[in-house]
Amino acid sequence: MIEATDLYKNYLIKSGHIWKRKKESKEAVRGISLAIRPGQITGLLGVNGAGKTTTIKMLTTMISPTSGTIVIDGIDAVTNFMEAKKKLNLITGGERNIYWRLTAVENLEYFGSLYGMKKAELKSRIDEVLKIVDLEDQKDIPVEKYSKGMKQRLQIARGLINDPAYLFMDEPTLGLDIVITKSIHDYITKLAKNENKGILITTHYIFEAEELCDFIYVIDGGKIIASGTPQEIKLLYRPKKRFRITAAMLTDETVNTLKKLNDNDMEIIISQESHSFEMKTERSNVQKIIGVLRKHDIDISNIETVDPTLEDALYDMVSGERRG
Amino acid sequence: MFGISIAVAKKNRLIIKRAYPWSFMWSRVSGAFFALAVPIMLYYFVFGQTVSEDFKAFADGSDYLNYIVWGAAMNVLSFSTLMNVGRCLITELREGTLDNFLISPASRAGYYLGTYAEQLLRSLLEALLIIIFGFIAGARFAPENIPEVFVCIIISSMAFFSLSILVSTIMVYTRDTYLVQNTIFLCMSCICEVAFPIEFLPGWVGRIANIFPLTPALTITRACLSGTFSLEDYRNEMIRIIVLSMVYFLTGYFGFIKYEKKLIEEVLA
Repeated sequence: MIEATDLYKNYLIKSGHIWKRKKESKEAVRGISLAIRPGQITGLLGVNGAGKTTTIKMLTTMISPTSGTIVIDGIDAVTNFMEAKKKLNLITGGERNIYWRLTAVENLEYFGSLYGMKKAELKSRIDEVLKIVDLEDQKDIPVEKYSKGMKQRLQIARGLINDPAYLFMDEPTLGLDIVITKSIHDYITKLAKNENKGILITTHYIFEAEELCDFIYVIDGGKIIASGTPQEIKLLYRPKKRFRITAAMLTDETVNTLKKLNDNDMEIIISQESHSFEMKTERSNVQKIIGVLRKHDIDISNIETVDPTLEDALYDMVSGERRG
Repeated sequence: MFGISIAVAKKNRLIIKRAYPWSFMWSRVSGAFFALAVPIMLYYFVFGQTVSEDFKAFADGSDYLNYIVWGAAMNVLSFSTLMNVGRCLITELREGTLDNFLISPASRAGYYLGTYAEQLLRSLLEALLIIIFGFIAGARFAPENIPEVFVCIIISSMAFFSLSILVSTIMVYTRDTYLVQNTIFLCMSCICEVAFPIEFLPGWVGRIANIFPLTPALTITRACLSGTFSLEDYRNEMIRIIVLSMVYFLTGYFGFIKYEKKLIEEVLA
């Protein structure tokens, strides 16, 4: 298990010019404690600048925390980081991190060698990971000729090359189409459930976290503001129930009246194209909206409740945290 | 460690082969060729093959043509090593491939060694082309001490490798390739006995010249080439090269190990 306790990270930011250099300290991570368990997919969610990347870089031993401890299967990853590195790998989104002049096989041979893998072991592992990401037929083509999706699949193969006990995935499906995303999701699940790997994933696709993660940490301003299973997080914040009301075309007058209701304790999203609008509100407010629609002689064809999503919960959580 | 070195050498070889087939090496060789052509023409056509008595005394009676040819050849060898090894990590940083190396438990020394090994043959070939050109222009060397000269070249090359590790760390620290590399290279070309003996320089400049391994390396190899001295006669210079190499290697290597994490932090900050 990876156990991080009370992690802090301060950066020294230098600015100005050579004669008048200013230095100021920025607290990127403030007292984060988390655990990544074998066989479990853990999500680390937060908006840009929340501290996710700094946390991942500390957990992967690439930077040292200012204070706090990281223990990976009994190894102190802060002091004995070279030993800890053997158990990890990182997959990042995007097209960098691989050599474009080399083929997939040549890339994987190099990255495998960095982990001390022997030739025969490396060969079978390369075949295995290329099969997983479905790049067997393109394995001898230089990466510069790959599409964006193919490069991302090769990144995943690279991250798996050393068969790590813990895998960090920083937006692993960024820019991939739904077919590849689905197959990667299936494989991530298989890695955790069948091969007992501990996985930490960061993503901006909330549906991805909801679908994959067994446990989620929500991070904002360098602190963990919530943690739990996706279901627990939804319940924890108790986001307001959403109602979807489908009605005939709304007039400008009706829209204005509804907008005035927005000032009260409800949020109304009006979608004219589909003749429907959504409310995020308490049940009691539905009556007020129905009253407005009736007053304007607008036919209501359907009213349904929509279950709160993880995205709703996270949005409310982060915006609530920022409002203080 | 050697597994890492082999993997790095193989990776670099493939990239160089595909990215810069012959043009890359040709630009380096042609640059050295023209750099050598200027003093040779000055020597023949302006100075009428005469040199001062001071030069003869400081250069142990060496002919200027031999002097400049060997200076240029060793200069190319040091420049190539500094270029290839010195900027290896900052190139990885710029291309976005450094993180994958830093996250791995791979030996950092093995990485440097692999980079050095890959470029060694190319660098030696570049130096050899300069010597051939010098030979065509009229330079002559005593053949008796060729094995000793070869030993000098290998030891010098390793000294340049050690210096390049320090240069690499400085480059990564300052995030600069051109200023650091070109400043060091031009400084070495000017003060390290490439074109004239350091005795012509002010004393303090001469002392700076002696902190670069190129200076003692040139002194020894020229002496061996003249056929009148052997390595035995230059034991102190040999020790100086080895000590300088160790200092550069250890400072550069442990400097990088210490700075490795700061490097990522600066990107994140």
